[in-house]
Amino acid sequence: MSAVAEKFDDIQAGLERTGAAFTTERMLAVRGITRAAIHEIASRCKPGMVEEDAVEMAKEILAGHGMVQGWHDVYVRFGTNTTKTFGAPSDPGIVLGTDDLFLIDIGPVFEKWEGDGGDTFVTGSDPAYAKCAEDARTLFHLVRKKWEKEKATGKVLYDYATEEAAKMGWELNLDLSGHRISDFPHAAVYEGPMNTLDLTPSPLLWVLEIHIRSPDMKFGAFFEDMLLADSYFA
Amino acid sequence: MAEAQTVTQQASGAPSPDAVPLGPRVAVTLWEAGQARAVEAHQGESLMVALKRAGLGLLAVCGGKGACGTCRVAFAPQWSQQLTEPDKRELRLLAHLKARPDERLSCRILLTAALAGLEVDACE
Repeated sequence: MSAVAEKFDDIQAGLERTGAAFTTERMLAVRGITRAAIHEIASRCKPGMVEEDAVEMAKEILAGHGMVQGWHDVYVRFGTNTTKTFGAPSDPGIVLGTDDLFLIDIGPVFEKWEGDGGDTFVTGSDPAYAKCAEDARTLFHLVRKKWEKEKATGKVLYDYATEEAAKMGWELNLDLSGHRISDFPHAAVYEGPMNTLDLTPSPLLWVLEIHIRSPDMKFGAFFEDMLLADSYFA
Repeated sequence: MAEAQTVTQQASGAPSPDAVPLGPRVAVTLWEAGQARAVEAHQGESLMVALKRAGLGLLAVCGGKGACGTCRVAFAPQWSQQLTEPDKRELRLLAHLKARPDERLSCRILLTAALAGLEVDACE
């Protein structure tokens, strides 16, 4: 192996270090709990609900599943707040409409392991909202498949995501551009984004995030899950 | 008199593009391993922001949202009584993490003039 290749391997090993509690089985189990929680939260978001109440409801659901702690906050965003970037405060008092969309982004810690996931849902039949939500999922899988087939680097993946989002008619928000996940806390190893990596991220150790927004910035959609091969999405 | 300094605050780890003016100074003392030192702190910011600025190794991975519990610090009883009561979420998280009774999340402590002289113990 050349000295350059060895150096890249050392960098990757450093960025992808895990803690003593890390196991494949536990990471996948927490992924499953996280995905289930997202859908449970979504099922309880009803038209007429105020966003702040939905966030509290989501926190109660997560606590009920033993996920009191989160490595990031709980986000349920309604309507125009779906354009807000990670960590940005929502505009207050937004009520979910009967023909509306909303997104969920959670980062719970279950015992010693981090979960992270997001998805977008619609309450009615607005075709633009439905397309946006579906396109976020579609784009997630397009990018994930490129990673799986081509062993593309983080930078290449997000360059590709930006191009594909534009073809679909959306703007990709690169503030949400993938990151590490691990036994808690991954932040002690690497807090940076995936989209600047000149390395191919390894499975199970990263999440892929897709946040697309309408060019007029009136609505957006989000999808996020662990970076895994096709077989995990059957 | 308010100092003409600004700080770039963090939201969930991401730097905000907006520089927020700092409020007037508040005297805060940090105790670490039996040693005391004064910490630069300002009204209107959270204790977590001041402690991180001072170089205390708080992970604070959620960026001050009260979600992760990695910014815990401890207070002597006389100071605990002067802090605002923890809300339901903080109480639940502290219980979940089996925190000591004297511990609080520093991100939930908003610094005010009433907290001048505050003494903080860095948790192990």
